[in-house]
Amino acid sequence: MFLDLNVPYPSHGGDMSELKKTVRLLHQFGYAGAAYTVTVSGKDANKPNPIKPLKLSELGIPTTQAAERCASSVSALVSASPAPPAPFQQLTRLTVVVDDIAANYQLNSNNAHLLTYDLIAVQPTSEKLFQAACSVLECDIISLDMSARLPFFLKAPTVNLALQRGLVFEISYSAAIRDPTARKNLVSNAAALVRITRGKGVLLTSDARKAMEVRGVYDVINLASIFSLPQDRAKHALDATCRAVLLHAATRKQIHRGVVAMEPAGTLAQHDKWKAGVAAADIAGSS
Amino acid sequence: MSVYPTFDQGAPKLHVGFQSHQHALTVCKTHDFNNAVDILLPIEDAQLFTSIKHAIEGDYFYKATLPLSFFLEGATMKNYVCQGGFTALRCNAKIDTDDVFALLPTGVLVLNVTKDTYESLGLVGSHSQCATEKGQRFDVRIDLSDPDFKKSRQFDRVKWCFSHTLAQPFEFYVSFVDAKTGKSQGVEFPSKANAKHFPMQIQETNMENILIPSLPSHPTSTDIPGPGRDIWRADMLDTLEWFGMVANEATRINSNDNVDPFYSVYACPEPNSPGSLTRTSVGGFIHPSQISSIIATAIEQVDNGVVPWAAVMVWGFRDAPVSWRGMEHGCLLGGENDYLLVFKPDNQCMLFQAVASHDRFSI
Repeated sequence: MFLDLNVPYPSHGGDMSELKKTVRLLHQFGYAGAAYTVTVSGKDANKPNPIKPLKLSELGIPTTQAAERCASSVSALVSASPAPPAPFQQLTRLTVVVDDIAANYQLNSNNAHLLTYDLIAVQPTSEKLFQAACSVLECDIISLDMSARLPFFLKAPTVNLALQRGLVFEISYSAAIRDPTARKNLVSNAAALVRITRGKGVLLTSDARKAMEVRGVYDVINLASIFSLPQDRAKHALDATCRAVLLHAATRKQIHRGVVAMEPAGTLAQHDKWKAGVAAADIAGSS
Repeated sequence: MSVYPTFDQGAPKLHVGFQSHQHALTVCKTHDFNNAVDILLPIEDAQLFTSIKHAIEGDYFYKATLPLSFFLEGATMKNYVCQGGFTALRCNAKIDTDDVFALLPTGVLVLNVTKDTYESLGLVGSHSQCATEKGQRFDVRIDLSDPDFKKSRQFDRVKWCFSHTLAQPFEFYVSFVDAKTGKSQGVEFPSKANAKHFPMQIQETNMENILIPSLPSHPTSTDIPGPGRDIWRADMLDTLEWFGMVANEATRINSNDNVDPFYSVYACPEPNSPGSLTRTSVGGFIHPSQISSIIATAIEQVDNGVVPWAAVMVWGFRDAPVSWRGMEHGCLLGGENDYLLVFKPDNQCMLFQAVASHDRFSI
């Protein structure tokens, strides 16, 4: 299941038509879903989620009414009775640009606004904040601005700390399509990241502001070979890592202390009743 | 020492060889999932087209929405699976990312599933050898044609799994072929299956003024020493490239082609002569025994001296879970499991097998 976990969501009053084009193209290229990103800096993380999922039927993606109704979110992943996957998953993501070590960004489970997003990404701007993001900040993705020269070196102990916590590092390729200088920086930064992480825990996303900047899955895999990411690892960065990110997010949100989740037996769908130990005869009787 | 880590990546393989006609038929019969066949004859003759069309005409396959438990039903097992020649493959499922299910003509049900499905499935399988990383995909095989299977505890287990953990219906291509005659036979589906019947698509093209190379000759031994081996290898690759050009209907092989070398430096292998080709394309869910009957017609034409050679190009499904001899198949950047057979008189056949890098098949 290939996903593109970074598609910028137009800010207030922005043009939705470009996003629709992007999503249509992603679906055509074989992606099974996308995460719409809202980027905020500083304390703006304390605002409600503005993202409204698009209607798939309007985009020409074949869908059923049931799939249209069920809001696709990561919580279904850890449910005992998961809904059938939508033809195109639409997730929400918040990217917080952190630039002050002293500020309290409220990146914790007490922030109700934060829980309305499926994924949380952090974009550190200095070495200290990078260290904080890798070690303490509660998030799923560490997103470095790779289109510019990084203001610090990536160090193995810090990066390993993040990998141990199950965080992933994001490489967004569309900057390389937009601008030649950004391309140069992206290749060198991404290669440095791949060298430090040995290709593990790397997430490839588009960050495409226009539909033109989206690339097909296998094209991205080829592009990643320039970052010295081998093909199998690059494929991993587009599917298995995405799955890991979603599960990490679901665990952060749904599962109490990351250990146990509870669900009332009544919410189980008819065909999943057996999971609660209900005998087959009872299921047949009640239907 | 390199600053960056180096990674070993498997390369796609091409098996090339000279075989007898009989061996070529074995290669064809052990390749289960085929979606297109092209027959090339270096002559323009409507009669030939009719005889090839006759070999495949009337054949069909189905597209049906079925739960996996359909294959375990008593009637299906008795009337179709145990008879041999009953094949099914899940449609539009990508081997890289989705769960792929296939029933081989031998009666083995192959479930090549993702980690998530495997964890909730409840059947024991092995790690997929073709996955990019160990533990990301699993390969479960169940031999439905085993006479003891129906009485075994495994049968109950599989039946429970197909009605609880993997109960949803999937879209399948289904074909049932008589083992003796190689002709398609009807299958009865439950009414919910929404089964549709598709005939094979047959198309004939005549290609005129094509530069046709003379094919490399059969060596007395394939174990050629020294530089001769490299020359032989280059000759074979040039021949394969030419067949590829024909398959793509490239204009570079037209005898009057005059392209700027800036765009293409392709040259047809020497010596060559202009001539005509008859190309018959068959598309669909094609059973190996249907291809054998096409091949038999092609061999007949060669043996009767009607044509100097006959070529059969076969393309396998990119996302099939098996390639040859039930070996596991993967995709990633290639996914080819195709072959080309060129039949020549005196029981000679050139064989090219293209095998993707993520494929367990080897000679």
